[in-house]
Amino acid sequence: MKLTTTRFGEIEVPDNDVLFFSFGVLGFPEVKRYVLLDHSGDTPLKWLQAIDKPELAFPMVPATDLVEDYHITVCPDDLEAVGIESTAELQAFVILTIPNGASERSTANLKAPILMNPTTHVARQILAAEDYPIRYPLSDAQPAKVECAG
Amino acid sequence: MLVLTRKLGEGITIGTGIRVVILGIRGSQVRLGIEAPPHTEIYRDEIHAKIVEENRRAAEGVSGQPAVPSRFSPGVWQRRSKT
Repeated sequence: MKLTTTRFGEIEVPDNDVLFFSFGVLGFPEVKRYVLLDHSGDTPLKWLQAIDKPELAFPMVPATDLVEDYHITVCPDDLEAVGIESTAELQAFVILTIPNGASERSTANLKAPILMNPTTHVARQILAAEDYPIRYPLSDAQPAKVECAG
Repeated sequence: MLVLTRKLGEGITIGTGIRVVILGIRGSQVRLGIEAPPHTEIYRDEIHAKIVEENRRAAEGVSGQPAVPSRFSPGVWQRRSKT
């Protein structure tokens, strides 16, 4: 399908890539269909782009790319909501807040990750029971592990 | 806002399938029991407001893409080898 976005212009996305948020993202309950777009370049950064709201997009990264031992307890109800039985199959993303013109002050919301079922494409923003911060400064993140070749 | 007075052990029913019961009262604290259909989202007001605010901040800006935080910029970030 063709998509109009304010950040990425007109883009074409496969119909199968549509992610369904039956409850929306908190604060945006009326927006239920999104797609996940890669940020250009070699970066784990992705964008959760609303299909029906061109200007709505959230920058995100896979949770474990930021905090290696990110661990949350997902209640059975939330698991069922995304149609999954085991957390092993789940993908967890954290939303980044990147201040305009001050990306060095970026933070990640570890408290309310986005869980996705990669098979059914059903997704949900949940609240972690764990004591994770809503504004985790990226500068505090453990340095990325760089594996040298050879 | 509808205002109702309830005693300990009493409850209220909201729509179909949502029930709130007063389980305990201690000083200025009230303990509530909530029954709701599966998948109903239930949040403490203050945490709900914070997440909503953070989501709005994260989605701010309608055009262009912000600079990638250096933590994830090419050259700094490298995909972890899964061994």
